[in-house]
Amino acid sequence: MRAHTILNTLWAALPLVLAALALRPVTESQLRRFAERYHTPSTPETASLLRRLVFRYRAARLVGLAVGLSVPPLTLAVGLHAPDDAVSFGIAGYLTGAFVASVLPTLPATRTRSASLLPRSAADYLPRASLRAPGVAAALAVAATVVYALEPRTLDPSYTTSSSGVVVAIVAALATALAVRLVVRRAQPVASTDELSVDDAMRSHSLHTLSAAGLAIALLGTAGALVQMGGSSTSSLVRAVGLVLGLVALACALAAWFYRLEPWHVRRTFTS
Amino acid sequence: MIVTVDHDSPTPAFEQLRVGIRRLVATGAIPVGARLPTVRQLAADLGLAPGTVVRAFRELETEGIIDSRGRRGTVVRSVPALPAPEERDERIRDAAVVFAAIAAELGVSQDVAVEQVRLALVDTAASRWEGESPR
Repeated sequence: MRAHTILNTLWAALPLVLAALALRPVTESQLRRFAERYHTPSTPETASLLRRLVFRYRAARLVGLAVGLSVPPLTLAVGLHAPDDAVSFGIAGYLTGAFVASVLPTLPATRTRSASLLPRSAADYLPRASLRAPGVAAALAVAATVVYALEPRTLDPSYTTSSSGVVVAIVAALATALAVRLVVRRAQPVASTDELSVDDAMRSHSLHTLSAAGLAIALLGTAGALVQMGGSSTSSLVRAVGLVLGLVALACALAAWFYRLEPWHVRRTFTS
Repeated sequence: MIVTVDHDSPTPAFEQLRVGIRRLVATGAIPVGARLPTVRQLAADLGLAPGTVVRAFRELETEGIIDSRGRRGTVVRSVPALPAPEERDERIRDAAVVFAAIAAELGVSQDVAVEQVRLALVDTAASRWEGESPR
């Protein structure tokens, strides 16, 4: 009983801790690491802009996470019913915060506006493989679901017959493509090449986070569809392929999330 | 490769944009064959209506400087023709007179003023180099 009370108190305090973490100032070493990861100059002229953007992006994600985690207890407290799945709400809040921070302008609008004449495309900010991977994951989930529907299978009740895996994979792939499009389109009212570099770095950082999250979620859905396909099949080959590929998809989901921290050099040229 | 539009200027925005792009192409900051941003991107970045960008692009196309290729985008076709030597000398002299007047008004010494001109020329040459090579 006492342990339960302690756990509940810690859980209730978690959003407050996250909010406090969100308000921490950005340190010099964090700025330096960010600048190195995206090959952007951290000069005295750009340092304040870079610091503001890194702070805003981090704060939006952590506040989103805190709000998401608070949804189940808050809805319960006011007498409403919400699924008791704080982790999913937390992830949704984190990604919503990341997306909102990604589409907000990096510089305030002024009466004199400048812009780069370099065209922007998603491939400037992300590896092409990252752009295609969510679609591939969704296609694999669809293929697994088709095989599952066509193959003779056992009616083992321990295996789910829901199609949530393929739905998750498709929705995640579509949402990722839309988010990438919106972030690339965000206005870039920069007045100098240094500001351009900072804006490009921030845009690339946002896109790496959103696409990694989208790919990880799509791969989780794909893993679900593959395990479902293999788990109930009467064919030993389909069973083995489904289970092995399902585990591979799970491992790739984890790898995709950690891959977002890889350094990236934004290369924008007139011929991109 | 940065273009600026002053929303409070009496000069229409499409004209500022046209002159800005023309200058960048003339100085080599944007090389021939370069693809320009989409109308939508440029309009969003500069806070303009898409129609304003379309008008600037249309005028540059009429001058033969850019070429709109529909869905394939807008590409720089040729460098604007240089003016005749007499006209060129007259324009640079006029610009120098305006610059000298501003320097005198601000109380800037001749050495500082000349140094600023030199730095501006170096910057222009650097931006020309950036336009020719990927960043």
